Amino acid sequence: MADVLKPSSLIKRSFLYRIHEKAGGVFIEENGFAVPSNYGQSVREEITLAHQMGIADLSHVSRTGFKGWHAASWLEKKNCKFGLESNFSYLQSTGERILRLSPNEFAIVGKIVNDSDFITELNSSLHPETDEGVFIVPRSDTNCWLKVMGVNAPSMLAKVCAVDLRPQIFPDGAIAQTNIARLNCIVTRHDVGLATTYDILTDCASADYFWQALLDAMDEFSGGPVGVTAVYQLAGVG
Amino acid sequence: MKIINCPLNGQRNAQEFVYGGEVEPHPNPHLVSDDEWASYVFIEKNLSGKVLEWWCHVPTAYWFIAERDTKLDEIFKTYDPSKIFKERIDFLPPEDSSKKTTESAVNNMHNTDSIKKNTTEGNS
Amino acid sequence: MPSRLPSPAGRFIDRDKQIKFKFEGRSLVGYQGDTIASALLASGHTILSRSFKYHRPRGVISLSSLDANTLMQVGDSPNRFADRIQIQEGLNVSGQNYWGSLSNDRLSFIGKFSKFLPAGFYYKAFYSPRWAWPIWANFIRKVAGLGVLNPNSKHSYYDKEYLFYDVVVVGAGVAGLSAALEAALSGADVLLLDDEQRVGGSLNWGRSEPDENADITKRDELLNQIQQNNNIHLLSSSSVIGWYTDNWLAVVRENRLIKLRAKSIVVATGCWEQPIVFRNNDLPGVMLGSAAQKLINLWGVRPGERAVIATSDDRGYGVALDVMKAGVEVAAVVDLRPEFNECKLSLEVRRKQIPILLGRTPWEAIPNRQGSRVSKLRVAKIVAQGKCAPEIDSFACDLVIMSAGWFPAAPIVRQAGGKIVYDELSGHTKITDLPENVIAAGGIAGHTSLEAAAADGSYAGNVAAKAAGIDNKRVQPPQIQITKESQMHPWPIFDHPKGKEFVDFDEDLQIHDLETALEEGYTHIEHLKRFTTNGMGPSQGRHSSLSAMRLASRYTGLSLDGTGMTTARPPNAQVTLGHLAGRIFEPVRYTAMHHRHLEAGAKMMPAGMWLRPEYYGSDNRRNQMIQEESSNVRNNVGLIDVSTLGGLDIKGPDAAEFLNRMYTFAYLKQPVGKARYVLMTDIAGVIVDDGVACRLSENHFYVTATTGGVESVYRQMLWFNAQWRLKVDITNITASYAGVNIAGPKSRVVLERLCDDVDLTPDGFPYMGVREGHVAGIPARMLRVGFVGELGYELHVPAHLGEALWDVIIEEGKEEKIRPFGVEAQRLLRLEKGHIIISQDTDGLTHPIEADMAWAIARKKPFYVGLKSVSMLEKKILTRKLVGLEIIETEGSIPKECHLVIDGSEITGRITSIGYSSSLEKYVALAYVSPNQSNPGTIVEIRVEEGEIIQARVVELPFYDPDGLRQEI
Repeated sequence: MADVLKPSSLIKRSFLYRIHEKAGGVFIEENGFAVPSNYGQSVREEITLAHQMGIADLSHVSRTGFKGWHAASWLEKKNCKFGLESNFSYLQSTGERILRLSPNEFAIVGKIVNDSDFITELNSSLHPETDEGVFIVPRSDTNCWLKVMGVNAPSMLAKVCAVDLRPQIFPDGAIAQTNIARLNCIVTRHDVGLATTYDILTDCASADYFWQALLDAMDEFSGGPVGVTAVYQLAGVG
Repeated sequence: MKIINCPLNGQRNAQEFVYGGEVEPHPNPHLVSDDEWASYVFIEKNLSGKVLEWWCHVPTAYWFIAERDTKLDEIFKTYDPSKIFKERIDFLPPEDSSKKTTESAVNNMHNTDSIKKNTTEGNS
Repeated sequence: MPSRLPSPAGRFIDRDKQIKFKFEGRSLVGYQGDTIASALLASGHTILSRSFKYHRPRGVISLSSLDANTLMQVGDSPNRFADRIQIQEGLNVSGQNYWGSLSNDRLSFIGKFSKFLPAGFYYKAFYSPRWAWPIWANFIRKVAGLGVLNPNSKHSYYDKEYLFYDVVVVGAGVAGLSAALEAALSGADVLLLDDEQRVGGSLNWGRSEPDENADITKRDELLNQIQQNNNIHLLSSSSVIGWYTDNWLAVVRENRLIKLRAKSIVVATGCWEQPIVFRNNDLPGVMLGSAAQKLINLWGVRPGERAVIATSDDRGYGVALDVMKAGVEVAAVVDLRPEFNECKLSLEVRRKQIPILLGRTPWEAIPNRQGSRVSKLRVAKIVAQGKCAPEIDSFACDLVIMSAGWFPAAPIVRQAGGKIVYDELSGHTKITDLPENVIAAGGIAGHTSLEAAAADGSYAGNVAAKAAGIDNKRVQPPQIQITKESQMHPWPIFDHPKGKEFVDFDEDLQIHDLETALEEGYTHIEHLKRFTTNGMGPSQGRHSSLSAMRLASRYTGLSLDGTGMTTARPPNAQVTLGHLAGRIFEPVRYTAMHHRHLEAGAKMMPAGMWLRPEYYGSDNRRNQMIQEESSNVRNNVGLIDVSTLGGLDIKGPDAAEFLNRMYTFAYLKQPVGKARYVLMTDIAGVIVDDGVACRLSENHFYVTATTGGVESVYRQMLWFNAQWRLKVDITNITASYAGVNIAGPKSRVVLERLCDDVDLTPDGFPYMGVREGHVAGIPARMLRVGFVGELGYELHVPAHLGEALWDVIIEEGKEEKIRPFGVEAQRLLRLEKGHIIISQDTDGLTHPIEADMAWAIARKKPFYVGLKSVSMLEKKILTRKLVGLEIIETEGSIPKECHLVIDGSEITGRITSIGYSSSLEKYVALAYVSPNQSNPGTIVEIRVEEGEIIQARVVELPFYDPDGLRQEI
């Protein structure tokens, strides 16, 4: 039997690793983090859960942000593709997504499956002394990244968020910067496979509180945590 | 609950916003008397009718300006502050004589005609 | 005596399922679907409660879960409506507001003294002497008690939900069902709400045709269409408790508060049936027509054996037919109108040869010998408004049904800005002044017949869909006019020489109570309400407002519209504190090292939204732990989690200029690789925040801010630059960085073991230096700052690496006896150095001169936010000054924070921080004193608890290591 991976054996640690341990998480290493592959259920069971009502911690996936009065033109020079509309997420041909948060601010989130060096390279290609008007925002630490999925996700979010996030109103790619359970959040509709899915970026220091608030809200839908293996399979379908 | 139309985020519940006071030109401390300064700091106009106000959308920390009727509690228009504050403002003492910049920016705020003109532009 | 009717009567009950419950300790049996009230009546209980003031027996009056008569204690939950709550196996129910038993209330003697308890009694009787009120209050609260709270009962789970619809229809009666259907057919996304468990409104129990099944058939037809329409979502058991700005409805449904945003709203809440005001109209057995019909048709309960039906409209004849169907003998129909109105129902009653008395009214109900129920009704001829002829007919009866017309159930409409307009000639009401996106439909709008209400509902549904912005291609149904049958009787109030004609049943108010108030000058309808408490009980004036308006208008000579109505404020229905509190969201922020603190036994304390270790160890060793932690910093090395400190990245060509404007010091020439203290004043010159600014490059400053202040500092910075338009970018990166301060003479030794890419020698990394390097391979912003007065390094690392950093420093520092220290030890160490804590040692008025921080102001720069105010304040005479004090040895008492500094009879200041310094072996404090007390060596007096005076000496700051040798080694 292979050694069991302990999250505290790695120096990069998710703010939620203790919660994952308590929930029976079986860990694999991703991006230097110990990530729950599953919570003791079969992948098939967790995929079923994800279709109904599931939550996953994707805080290990790379992400970054840029803002400033020249951020848009700089990103365009780096071959990033996005439209004029703010509060919308633009899928890149390489699989990353550019979240345009305002005319001058962007968050960039990596691919869930096969996360590449795209973001690391983008970060290191910024030269503050010469690239005027472009500033990095350390999104990978400011925010944790939670994925809420399943047909019941809109109803669950309606219990904690005052913005109308129903699929017919809030299309794939739409972004709302608002409060969820009284925390500032960036919520993006990013459907994965068949499941209606929302990516939520929120204060990493409040990750513990937020995770539990969402679990509480999804209790009536029999929702629960889903490991990354199930998420990868769903994302692969899409 | 009241809905406020944020220029960046669209219609949101008033709960997502904080009020930032009346839009008042920040005077150049070198060019005003103590009394004028004290009234800028402590006296709110509290006008009944149409006023310009600062509002901040908290989740995005985005400041904008709202045209609101305080009697009807109706917001007519909201727009980015750059519609009024177009240029860099400096607060230099008179002898430094870059006074021009300061005055024009302050005048820009003082002058209701120019505010009107700007907001019409913002609306078009 | 009421009793259960034989099967199949009762649309709501399932006779196959018996349910046992307890009432007043006795076991009773009802059927599934029974409410507590219907089950009690079916078992012959007529007294459900005792009245508020006179403890008169009360029974069913409206059966609409809105009057105090049916309030009961259900388990641990007081003041529940017995006509709303369904019985469940084992439910424990008891009456309220009596002493003894419901049927024999020893407090009912109070009724005999009713002459001495007029409106405004409390205000007059207990006003003086003032000392007596608490004694009276105690007695009155017991006597007027409504149910019992059990503080030990288990908390229920409540939560909230936000919903959005194009069209919300409130009320699922005939108008609401029709409106929802039409709006949905127009393409709108519709939510249909009803406060009853079973939708249909009066279609469930009413009779608008001689055919007893006409109404229910109509209901089933409409409901069937509704259920087949996917655009309609139906929520029953949902009460709208308020309308708020921009069509925002608060809805209570079971244990959930729904916050509902509608593009347009159709209000189809119908009407409240109005009582007739006559002597003893509150006796059990006297009830509204709708209540009798509900008992018969919904729960199969015969409400009595012999009835008189008093009505002012045609619907009363429908009630008569239903009552007869239930086997009740109808002694007479008393019609308040002078002439017989021919309609299908009245003709049917006449055909059944029931005596119909026209132009007459109930004049007095006579109780049985026990006083527990009506036994006879005296009926008189109406000769003028409110006046009757002396000749009286008497009818033996145990049931009196009264109906004086229907008044719009309009709280929602009125909260939305609508007005009820009353036409006194025709007796019609209508709704005016509504905004475009709120539409009143059906009975509430004056359409009381089924056909009219249905047609008006369809029209409203169409209009609502349009108002919601639905591109509507359907043909608009015609708008209909208000018809004759929806009249209200103009004056169903009959003063009796012996009184007891109840206007407000909840509050036990009679005609003379209102008249007394009017005579005393409370003629404005709002004053009348407050002085008499009319309409302030659970029914909120639903049965009493109209009578109060009429009495006021008779007194003042104004019309009803001129008299006006009292303001209709939410909540419109019963709402518990649990609903309002709901599932409470209290975000809490943990640092990356949070769990390490818990594992080390930290006692956590809140700091803004964060939790921070106050000290490590058990409660009873608090002071010892704080002293040990601080001594260890002075002698060895300590480690504190400073992640909660605010962090702001200020970048761009104008970064230094921006800092120069926001903070009092000078930053333009600050060298790269150096940190500098920052002090922020607001435009009034008041100190609002402090921290350090680290210049990481020409155009990049990393600025720290206080834990509690960073959010507002960040927001203020953005606000100022929205006006200044400097080329600068401001980012709040507080949560991105975990931070520790490793402090103490041995901190360098520990750090040297962990860091190999930064020169840590005193010259290589001097005091107030800033470096970027790695600690145990973790990238870190390193600051050599010394706010605890020792050699120390602040290390800021990406948050996800914070716990690993903490672990490795604790491990590597073992040899040097490293131990973590908490906020309390840090405060003490800072105090020894005389460093102020913003908002602990400053308040909302403190400016830099008072705080003795003139050193932190750059005098040569042209501008900072508080410049003008600070220079104006400097010109004024100083009123107080922050100084260091050492407490001169005392026998026992030690001053505490906020204890006053006095000078003779004057208060001159207060202690802001105090602690025992084991390094100095004395208590040291920061305090405000008057300027003439501020010279070192001055002895000042501090007044502590019990008025004791303690002496303290003003000393130079800092207390510890005045030359700063230790932090700069």
